[in-house]
Amino acid sequence: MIKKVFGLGAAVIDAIYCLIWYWRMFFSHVDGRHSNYDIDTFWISYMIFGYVGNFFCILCIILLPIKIILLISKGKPFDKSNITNLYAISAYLFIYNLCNFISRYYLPVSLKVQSLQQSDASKYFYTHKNELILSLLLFLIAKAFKRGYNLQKEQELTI
Amino acid sequence: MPIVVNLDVMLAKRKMSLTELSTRVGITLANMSILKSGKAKAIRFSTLEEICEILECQPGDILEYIDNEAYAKLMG
Repeated sequence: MIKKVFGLGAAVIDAIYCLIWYWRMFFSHVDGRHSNYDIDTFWISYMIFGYVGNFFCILCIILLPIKIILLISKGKPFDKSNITNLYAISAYLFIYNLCNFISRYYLPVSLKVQSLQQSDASKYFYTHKNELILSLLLFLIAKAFKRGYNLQKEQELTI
Repeated sequence: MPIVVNLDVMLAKRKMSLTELSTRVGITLANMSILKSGKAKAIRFSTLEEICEILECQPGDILEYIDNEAYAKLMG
């Protein structure tokens, strides 16, 4: 449960980071004249969420896979924590990419900050396709691990 | 799973302890406790055969099917 919240929390923090990035873009395109207070607030929140987001990014992309590999090498591939870790990484990659797409392409177009031609949403999917495919693959692997875990549990409880 | 294991009833009838049964069947006490408490997911025919032989009973004396409502009531 904690790990699921952690995975989603990481994605939400990164999503906020993306929205802050969008906020800056929105102000610079539409308003053009923002006060020092706006700029300070922007940079402080940008830095805080940037660092926190990067911290979670490191945890999700580097530490969790290392933990999975360590558990597999110890002979415990179908451990419950492996499943939750895989789900967490998958959810992180998917939600982060989705929020990134919304903040960079969908919102600017829908709020008429950018034209559809300028935004070029297809380019985003082209450049980030590997992350989205990886997210889907990790989700499927997590499902397979869950099946393996259930079978192992059934085997252990067969007397 | 509404299958109830009445191992404790048969043990009481035969005046046998769980430890003795587990030793004679050749499975660990921990596994026998899992079977007795109804937490087991499945039972091997070989294990059932051994238990029936030692307790001199039929598989139906050990395993019983009850409906979901009665099972939920039994398990609390």
